Amino acid sequence: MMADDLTLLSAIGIVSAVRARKLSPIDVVEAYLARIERLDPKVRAYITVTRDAALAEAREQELALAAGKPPGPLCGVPVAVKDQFQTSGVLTTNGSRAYRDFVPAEDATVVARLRQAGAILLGKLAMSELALGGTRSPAWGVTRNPWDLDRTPGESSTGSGAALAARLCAASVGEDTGGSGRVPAAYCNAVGLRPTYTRVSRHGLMPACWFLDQPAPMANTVADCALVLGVIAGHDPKDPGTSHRPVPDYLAALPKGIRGLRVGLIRELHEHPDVHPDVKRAVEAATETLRSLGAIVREVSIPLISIAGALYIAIGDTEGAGACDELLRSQAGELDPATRTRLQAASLVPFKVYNRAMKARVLLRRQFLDVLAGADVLVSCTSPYSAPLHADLTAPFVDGDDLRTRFFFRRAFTGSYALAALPAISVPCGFGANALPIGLQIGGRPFGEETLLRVAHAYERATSWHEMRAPLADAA
Amino acid sequence: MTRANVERVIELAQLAGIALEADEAGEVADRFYALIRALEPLSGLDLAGIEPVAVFADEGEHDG
Repeated sequence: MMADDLTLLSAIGIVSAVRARKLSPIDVVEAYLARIERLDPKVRAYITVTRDAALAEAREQELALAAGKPPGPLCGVPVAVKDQFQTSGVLTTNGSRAYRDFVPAEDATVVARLRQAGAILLGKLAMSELALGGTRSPAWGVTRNPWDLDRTPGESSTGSGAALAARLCAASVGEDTGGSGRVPAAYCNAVGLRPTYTRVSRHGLMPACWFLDQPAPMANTVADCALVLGVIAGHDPKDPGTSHRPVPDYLAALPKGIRGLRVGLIRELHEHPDVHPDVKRAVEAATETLRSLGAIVREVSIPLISIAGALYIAIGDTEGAGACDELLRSQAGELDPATRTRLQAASLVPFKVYNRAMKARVLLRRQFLDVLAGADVLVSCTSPYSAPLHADLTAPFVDGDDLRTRFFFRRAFTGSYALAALPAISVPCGFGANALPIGLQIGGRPFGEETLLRVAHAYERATSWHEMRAPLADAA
Repeated sequence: MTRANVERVIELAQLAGIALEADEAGEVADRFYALIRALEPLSGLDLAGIEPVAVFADEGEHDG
């Protein structure tokens, strides 16, 4: 097999070949490192490439395999994580100049679990500053979408989406506060899952909003995403808030099919006039595919979603401004203007408004749970449009209407699940006339990840969208 | 954005101990007032008896 072909293997394919001793972890890691060297100057998915450490780990694994040591569930899989996760001895920037010299002493639990499972860390991935979005001058350069270099790969796990689309890692863990894992997945034709809050440890994750942040497994297939979730999920004494629920065998649930499963199409997200017609068509085609697989699809209504974008900013940004208070007071000049003005505005939200937004969040969750009493999963587009141009994403806002359409409105699609503390996954569901990927969002009940993955897998098997590769990824 | 609104935001920021860049006060005011306007539907919601929650209880945790 040619070196570049190795980067076409799924994470599960790599594990299987390495376990069978048909493939050396060293060859896989070298193939990825060569590809990163060749393509990342164009994509800028990585802030730090841990080349030497990755090669050393691959050699160690090779020796361990030769000695008959049992391989882990991610044995030999080259992964990369968002630079929001702390890594022992490796620069961790949180996407900000303010952290340009921060080298943690300990791995985040997610990173530690990936390593324990045999994954090989290739490096740290680019992100919007402080996991917010809209960064105008990223300190480590503009990360580009391999489907169109003039466009964003999505925020805030920008590097995770871009690296998967360009095949610069086999799997990734991003982070999803209000859509930061699912939106890059949608824009980059990848799979991204926001787990139920407390399903995955936040220990060592630099906070954006402590009660919304969740590590988000991202991959090029649903099965790979399920594999990574199974490794990182579960209680962590270092994050006492994590759930004690046992971690299901997510992979085992995938082949069960979806006959008789009840699917709710969320009216407020599907019928919104700002949803691009190509996106709407793709979602409608996806619901037809689900019907053909035996699911029962009907329309459902969650009225409060109409203000979920504003609720998300009122809550998430206000908490974020609190978490960054010291930074805002003493190092505001180090922040990108978009980050600075966003956090400063959030710092001024009156407590009573914040308090009412938090109460409305409880109502929103109740509306979700009422609908989920009669539906097994909910669907909509992940984003109302495909990847925007960098220039459009980072342009200063003209007025309040501009803010409404470019800032609040789109956050309702993914932010509503975060506010309701529910899991949701984005899977590729087609392309627009502009040849850019579109994502289907599937959401569900608390700790319903198994069901989401099962539906996503059934849909993926019935379609070929996930097999399409970005033009850049095809360039040798 | 009116001058009065920008001045109010500068005043609020000073109270909060935040120094705004002179050329960014207008953008901060735009963001702040756009958010307040977008939250206007909150005033029409019946939120009586609802306690705000940061982390929702996991009702099924002990079911295994």
